[in-house]
Amino acid sequence: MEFGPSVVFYPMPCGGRVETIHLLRALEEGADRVVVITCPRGQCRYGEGNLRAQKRLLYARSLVREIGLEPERLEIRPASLGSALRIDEIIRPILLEAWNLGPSPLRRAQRKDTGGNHR
Amino acid sequence: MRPFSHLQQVLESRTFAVTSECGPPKGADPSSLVRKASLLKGYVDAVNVTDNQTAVVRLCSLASCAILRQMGLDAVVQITTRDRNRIALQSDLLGASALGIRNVLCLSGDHVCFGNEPGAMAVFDLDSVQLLEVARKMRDQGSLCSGDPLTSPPKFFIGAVENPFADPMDFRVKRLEKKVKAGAQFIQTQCVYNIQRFREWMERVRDRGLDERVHILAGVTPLKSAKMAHYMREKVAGMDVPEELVRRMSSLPAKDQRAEGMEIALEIIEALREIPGVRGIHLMAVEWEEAVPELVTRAKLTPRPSPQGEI
Amino acid sequence: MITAVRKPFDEIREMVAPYESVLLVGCGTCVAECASGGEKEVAILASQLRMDASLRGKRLEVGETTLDRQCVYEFIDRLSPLVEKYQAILSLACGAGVQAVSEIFPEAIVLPGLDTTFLGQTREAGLWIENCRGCGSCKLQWFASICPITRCAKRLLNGPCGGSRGGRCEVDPEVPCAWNMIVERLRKVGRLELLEDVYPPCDWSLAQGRGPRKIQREDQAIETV
Repeated sequence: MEFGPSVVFYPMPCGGRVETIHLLRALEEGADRVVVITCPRGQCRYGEGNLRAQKRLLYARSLVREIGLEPERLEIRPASLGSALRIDEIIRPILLEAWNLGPSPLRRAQRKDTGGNHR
Repeated sequence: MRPFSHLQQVLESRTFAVTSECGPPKGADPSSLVRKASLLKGYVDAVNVTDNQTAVVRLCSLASCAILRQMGLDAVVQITTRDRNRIALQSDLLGASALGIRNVLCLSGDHVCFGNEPGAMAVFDLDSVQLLEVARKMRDQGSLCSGDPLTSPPKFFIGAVENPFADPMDFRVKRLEKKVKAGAQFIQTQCVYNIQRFREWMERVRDRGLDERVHILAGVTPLKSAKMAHYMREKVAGMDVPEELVRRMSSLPAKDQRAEGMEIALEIIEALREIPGVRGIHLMAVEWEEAVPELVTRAKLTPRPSPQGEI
Repeated sequence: MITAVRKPFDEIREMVAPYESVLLVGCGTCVAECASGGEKEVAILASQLRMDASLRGKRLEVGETTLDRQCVYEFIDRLSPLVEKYQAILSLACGAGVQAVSEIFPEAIVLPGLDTTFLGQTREAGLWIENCRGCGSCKLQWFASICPITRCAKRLLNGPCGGSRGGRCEVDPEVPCAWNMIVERLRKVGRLELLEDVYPPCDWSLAQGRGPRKIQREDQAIETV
């Protein structure tokens, strides 16, 4: 699914599959904003996948805060209750929201960085 | 066998005993201790000095008791196992005896976290029950915990504490029995406010025949204020202050609360004297040592028996 | 297992500050179980260190690898090809692992990324509780399998103390009074008589040793011909 060149979309089988490292790597790769969309509370078909995603996101925020990056760049949004919307109908309003954190300082820093990082 | 101390003499003669305690200063100048102890002289049979109570560093009980001995008082040195290993504990027991201190109270002690040196290592090499055994072994067998013989045994009357109000309630009597088995000859209890509950505990104590094997002194602490009553009820572990007493204190204006606290203490003392097996009281009038002479007098416990012979 | 927690990030940053390349080495056993030093945690810390270095305009190459166990020479040997490629090793193992690695690679700078805490169990997801202090002389059979040395704040062997209130320890109301638990359990199985005798003083020499303790087994040793 395409949302334009500035949006990378990762479908997951369940919010519970989102790991802390995915969120950090997204920022490391230059994302300005990461939004995790889960099923509404009480409606996870696997039980508590959405709750796990929430906990991991909060943890990732604390890790991000440790390195001096804005934790608000990581967000979690439960889709609205009883939503019969298609995924793009959920995502587009989020993209159209006023969001004022600006480009990630990492992108600026990485542009300056002449050395490579190996993984 | 001759009693080792005046306190032991009083208890063994079946006279209702009165002991009290002094808190030593947080400094090297003993004059406040001397002042407090002189208030007590003549009104009590023996004076305890607490040992780094609530893990707050103070002038040690051993040195304080030596000072009290010089004043002619029968001292009870309190020894906690929190701060010393068995080498130091046994060494201090020898020291106490050498200084003429003839009563020893064995305690585990409050945890270091409550005090003013929370980073200190909590020793607890022995617990209070093991310390009782060690003290008795030194005195009666003339040897150390390890079995190594002493050149001369220490002499003292050995005591312990018990809290009838802590959990688990019914196990407390078994624990008392264990302490008696280990060597406790006298017990000073946590301060009593709930007379009914204390009566129940004493009944169980008598059922086990423990009142015949150990001298029990019930703790009494006069309430200074409604605030204190409230604090002790809510915040102090192992303390049972009935709601009714808190209400009695709170119903009065601040200036009348001390007098009411005294009244309550006198009522408690009178009730305690009626309970078979209670051999005396231990007055813990913390920072209110002046209350002791008044309490002892109004409770008709004066004059105190005078010390007989060399202690 | 041995539990540990990751050191504060500031402390880690300061430790690796002098270096331009660091190899993060995780351990797949205890610290993976308590989510502080396993493969996942290595990846997370590596990502943080890279981003942090970028933000500060600092060069830092971060390698990642995880050993099955970091306290066993056979596993540590697998680091050999990697060690010289980095200026420092940041180990996410417990203190035993950090030192074992350092012994095998004495020329390498081996830094501790974790604070090793205690021996314990996973009570439930996300909750680890200390239950053994390695006293060298297990007495659990006398105390209904509840260790008084570990779980009683005063390590009383003839407890409880006078501060036990509502089955809670005076030191922390969140902590159950171990002695209350011991008494209740023995009572339930009808073995309260185990507490009648005075439990004698512990031989702490087995716990403290003369310097670091060791175990040696001839039947397990390999002789090189």
